[in-house]
Amino acid sequence: MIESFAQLGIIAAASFSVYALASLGFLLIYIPAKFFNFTAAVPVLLTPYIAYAVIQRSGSFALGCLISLAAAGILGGFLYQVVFRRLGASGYSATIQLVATLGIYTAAVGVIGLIFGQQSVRIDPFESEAILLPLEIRVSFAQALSIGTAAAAILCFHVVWRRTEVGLRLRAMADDMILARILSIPVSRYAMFAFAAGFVLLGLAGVLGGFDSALRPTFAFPLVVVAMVAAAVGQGNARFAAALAASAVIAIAETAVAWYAGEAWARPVSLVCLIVILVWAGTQRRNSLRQV
Amino acid sequence: MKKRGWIILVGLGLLIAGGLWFASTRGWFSSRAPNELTVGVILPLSGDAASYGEKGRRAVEMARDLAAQSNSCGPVPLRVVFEDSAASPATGIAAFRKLRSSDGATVVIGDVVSAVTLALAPLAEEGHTVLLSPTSSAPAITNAGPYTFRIWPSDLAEGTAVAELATSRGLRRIAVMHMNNDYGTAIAGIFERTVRARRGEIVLSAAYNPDTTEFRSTLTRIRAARPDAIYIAGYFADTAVIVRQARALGIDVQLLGTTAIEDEGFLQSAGSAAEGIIYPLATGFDAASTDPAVVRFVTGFRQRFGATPGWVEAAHYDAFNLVCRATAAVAPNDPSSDAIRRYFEGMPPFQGLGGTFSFDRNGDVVKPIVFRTVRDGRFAALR
Repeated sequence: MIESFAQLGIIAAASFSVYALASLGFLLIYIPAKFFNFTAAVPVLLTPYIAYAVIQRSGSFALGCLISLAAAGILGGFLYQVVFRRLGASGYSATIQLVATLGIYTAAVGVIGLIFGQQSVRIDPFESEAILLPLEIRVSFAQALSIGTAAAAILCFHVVWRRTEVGLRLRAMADDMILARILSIPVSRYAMFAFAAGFVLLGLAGVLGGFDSALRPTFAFPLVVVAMVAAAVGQGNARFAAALAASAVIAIAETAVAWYAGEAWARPVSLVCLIVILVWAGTQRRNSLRQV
Repeated sequence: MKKRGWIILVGLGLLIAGGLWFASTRGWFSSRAPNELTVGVILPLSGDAASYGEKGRRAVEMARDLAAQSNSCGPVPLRVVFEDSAASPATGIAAFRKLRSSDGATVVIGDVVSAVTLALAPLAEEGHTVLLSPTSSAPAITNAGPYTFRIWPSDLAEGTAVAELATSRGLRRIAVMHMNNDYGTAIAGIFERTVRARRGEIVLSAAYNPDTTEFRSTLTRIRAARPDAIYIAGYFADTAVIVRQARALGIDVQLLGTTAIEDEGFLQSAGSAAEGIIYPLATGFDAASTDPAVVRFVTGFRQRFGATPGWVEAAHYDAFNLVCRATAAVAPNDPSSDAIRRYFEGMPPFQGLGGTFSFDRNGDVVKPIVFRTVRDGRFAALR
């Protein structure tokens, strides 16, 4: 039994790594966009496919990851400049912008389907090899890479967010965009940076999430739904710790439910758990406000 | 005046709608030439099962062109019209209605997915149109009606055969993972019933949704249960991921799969983890066979599409050729759907790429099931 629980802990940690990266990326692009946008699914989808194509041609796994993440960053900046900046400036409602992002995502799914076909492809270069730990715990190379990479990325993110000028300005923008403008922060430039960095994090989540599984044109959406839910817990406003905590809850709940009742129940039950947490957190907040 | 205007407008609308309905029932909108017979082909050309649909389309195109060259379908020319079902019953129904009313299809080949075929069957019965499914295996299709036929055995046959093979090999304690759809649920249910009837034990049965990519939680539980075998009732993409994750967790028991895994994509995706998996093949088709008909098909397919055909292509090729033979036999005298249905009901055994078969009184195919495995990175007959 202990072996099983230890093994489940590794599975939950690997899932959390991917969800955490996706939710951080999602919150970063929320800072300038200020609405929940489905474009977040585009880097999750495109990056692993680009990595797959580069690995196929060059045989180099590292090169594939580097090029695909760079492409994700460039795409993020480009989409902000070409689409979101103009949409925001034109004064369209968040709903209309949300529909536009759905269009972008649908186009990306179509393009991937046309280029790579609907058939699933695999990017994992490690076969089924695993690291054997005490208690018969096995950690696949892909899982180890996910956990390690996510830990490093979250640490870097924390340092940039808390200790640098860039982080300070992004925090100012997250708090109040108009005030940030008054304070002479070049909002447009930082918004583009937030989009590029967010797309890189989302792309990284896509690559790591796609490692152990097969890539399909539809595989990105469930991951982005999780990121959206985690961001909703963080109230979409740069509350990264809350989003990370929500990602952890989803990962642990999914793993436990899948273990107990099968994978078909994992996602619905974990999302219901989150709704319960949201309601509970809302009640707590109301109570504390009343006391104030 | 205003009221009278409305009455005239509504009357005109009703008149036009009635006229359109009458014309469509008479086939006046049909784009079919008077001396030809239309064969509709409904396939999932988009969506989750699009890879199967594309394979089917290629096979039917090839069969159509070869038949046209050899004039083997008789004096009545066949026109083939493809429609996309997107593996969705609603889209499939729209495609069927379009084929029936606009194209005047006499026979419809389709669908790959059982849920779509089951949705089309009532329309086939209602419109007296022969529906021939190349690969649908849901048990419910057996009772779908006299106009519905299939050349793929029911899950009942496949699930029973795998369970019998497993228990006869001494695999008594079996864990089951199945896809949470018509196909996976039906085949797993039949498998489990047969194992229990043969004094075996199902140590765990877990469902997963089609978009699932993480199976390690269930596999951890399976590892703790120490079964003799794991039966995976799903398609090739999810089975490949399960197989890889099982091996990575150190699960080294016998793996059992479904017919759906015989696909190059499975070998590519599962890699060395696929070695030794046993699965049934509800068709005797073997691309490496020396049978002249198979060699001609495989060579032609490779030349035309640059890929080796598998069971999906073979099933669709056989389906079209069966329709071709039926029309050659009956269409010169009676080019109706009823005549083709009567031909299917009483036809002599048909020699297809997947072996010789005929239909039983329910329209189900009658043919044996063979077992295969993955050996040295290739699909091979089970010794």
